[in-house]
Amino acid sequence: MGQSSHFGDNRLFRQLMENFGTITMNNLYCKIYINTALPRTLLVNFIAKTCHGTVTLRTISSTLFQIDVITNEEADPRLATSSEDGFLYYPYYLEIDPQNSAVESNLYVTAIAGLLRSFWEQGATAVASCDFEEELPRFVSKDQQTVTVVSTLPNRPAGIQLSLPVSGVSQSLAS
Amino acid sequence: MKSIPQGLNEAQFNTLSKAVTQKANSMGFGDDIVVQGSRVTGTAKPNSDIDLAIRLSQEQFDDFLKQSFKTPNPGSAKEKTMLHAIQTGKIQAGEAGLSSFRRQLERELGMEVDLSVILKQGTFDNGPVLPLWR
Repeated sequence: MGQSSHFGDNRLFRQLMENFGTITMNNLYCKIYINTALPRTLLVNFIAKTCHGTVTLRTISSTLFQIDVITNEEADPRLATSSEDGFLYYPYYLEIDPQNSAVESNLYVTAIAGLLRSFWEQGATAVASCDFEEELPRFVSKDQQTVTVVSTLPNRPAGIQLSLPVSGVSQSLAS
Repeated sequence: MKSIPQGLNEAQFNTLSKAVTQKANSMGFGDDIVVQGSRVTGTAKPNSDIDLAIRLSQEQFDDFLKQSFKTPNPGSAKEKTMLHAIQTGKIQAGEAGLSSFRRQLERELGMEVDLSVILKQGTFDNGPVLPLWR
């Protein structure tokens, strides 16, 4: 007996199997810590442009996300670079939730990965803290420049921490 | 005369108090909720946020921490975030499942809101505070 006779619809079966054991709607919240010298207004604008979102106060709203850009009151430049958990002291963090319950989880996770990649491409450091850290890809430098890609999990492509030379971050993101 | 945080009027603070207290009650937190920071000390700038803290006992805080973070993978960024929350006695809005509610408050008030769950007598339970109206 084939899969379609059990589930009635092969597409539904594939969708169930793709999502099985990975992501459920109630754990899609994601925090991303960001290390950049950029003023928050410019960071908000950059994210809004990247996500094709609209801005209200510090919240960016797009078809997939609601993203709050929060100034980290515990930010500490010394701790941010000197300790293993330095990302906790980055100047900003994002609080990201799905826009609504209809957002498809795999699409959402892919978009989070894209957002991380956009920070990386602009030279900012970004660390994701969420239930699906292991689902997020590792990024590889296109031009083989020196890039630090650190997983916070041993031997796993998770908890992405990307470091590029910080110079040029302000000009790139602000332009 | 009841005190009001700097920059809010009586109607705004009344609405805020009711909304946050109702939300906290629905989560089983009780009503020990305070305003902290510059809106209490009178040093707020026009674009300052309003800091709201739901204060929990050690037992309540520990239970809610487990509920919020569940069991993160060892070594993950989420685990480090959880350990930091334990160390500082503060669970931020996102991990507390309050970010959506906070956005509603921000839209209502037209100002940024910092809403967190803190441990009574913990690192962040300090400075002058103003209880929400009951």
